[in-house]
Amino acid sequence: MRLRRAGPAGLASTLLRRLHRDQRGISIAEELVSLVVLASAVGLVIAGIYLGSVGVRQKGGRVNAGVLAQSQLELVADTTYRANPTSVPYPTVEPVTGFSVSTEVEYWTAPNGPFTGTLRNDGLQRITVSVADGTGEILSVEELKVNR
Amino acid sequence: MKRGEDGFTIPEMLIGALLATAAATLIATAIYQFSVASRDGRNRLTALGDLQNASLWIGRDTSEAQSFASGSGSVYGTLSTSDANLEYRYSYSSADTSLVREVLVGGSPTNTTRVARHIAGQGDVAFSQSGTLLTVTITSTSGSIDESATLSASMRVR
Repeated sequence: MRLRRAGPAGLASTLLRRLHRDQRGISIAEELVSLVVLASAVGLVIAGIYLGSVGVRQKGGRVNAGVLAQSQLELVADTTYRANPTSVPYPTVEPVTGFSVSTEVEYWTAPNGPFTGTLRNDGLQRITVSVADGTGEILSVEELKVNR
Repeated sequence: MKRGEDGFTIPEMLIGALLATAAATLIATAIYQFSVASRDGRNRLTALGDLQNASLWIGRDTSEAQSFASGSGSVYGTLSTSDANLEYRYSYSSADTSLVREVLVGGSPTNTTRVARHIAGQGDVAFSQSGTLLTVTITSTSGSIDESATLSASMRVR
C-alpha cells in the first residue's frame, strides 16, 4: 500500500479516508508499530509501579534497620562494660521479623592500637552493629565502649 | 453497506469482542493496580516518616535525660535532664492524632513539636522504663497501612 508523504495531520486524514472508502485495513507494519507503542506504554507503567514499590520497600527497610541499630547501640550504652563479651555478651534487641541484627566487638590494643578481633581487655571496645534483611546488609554502625 | 463488502462473520465478531474485552480488562487492572500501589506506597512512606521522626526526637531527648516520670491522662511521661529547669514532655493529642513533644522550661511549655502525626489512638504509643532504659513502641497509621517500631533509648546522664 502506498501512502503519500504527509505530516501527522495528513497521515490521519489519509487513514480516515481509507477507512471510509474501502476496507483494506491496516498493514502489518502499522499493526506492529501500534503494538510496539502500546507495549512501550504498558511497560513504562509497569516499570514505574515496580520502581515505586522497590523504593518504598527500601525506605521501610532503612527506617526499621535504623531503629533496630539505634536500639541495639542504646542497649549496649545502657549496659556496664563487659570485659569478656564472648562469655557475658551484651544484650540484644528483640528480633523483628524479616531483619537480623548482629553485634561485633573488637578490642583496643593499648597504648596505640589497633583494634583487634582477639579478646583482650585494655578498657576500650569498638562495637559494630549490622542490620540485614533477606536481601543483604542494610546498614552498619559503630560505637566505642569505654570501661569507666 | 456497499456491494462486495461482506462485513464480519459472527466468529470474527466474537473473536474481536473477546480480544477487546481482554485488552480492556488488562488496562483497567493496570490502572487499578497503579492507583492502589501508589496510594499504599504513599501511606507507607507517611507512616515510616512518622516512625523515623519520632525515633530521632525520642533518642535525642533520652540521651540528654536523667530520669523519666510516667504521666497521666493524655501525657505519656516527662524526661528530666540534669538542668532542673529543662524537661521534655511527651503526650497524645487526640485533636490532631499526634504524638506531641513539649520542651518545658521551669514547668511551662516553650516549644511544641508534633513528632508523629498519624497516631490513631493514644494506645498506639507506649513508654516503658526499666532502670535507665526507656522503651517506646509506636504504631503509625496512614490510610489502611500501619507501621510499628520499638525503640530503646538509654538515659545517659547519671
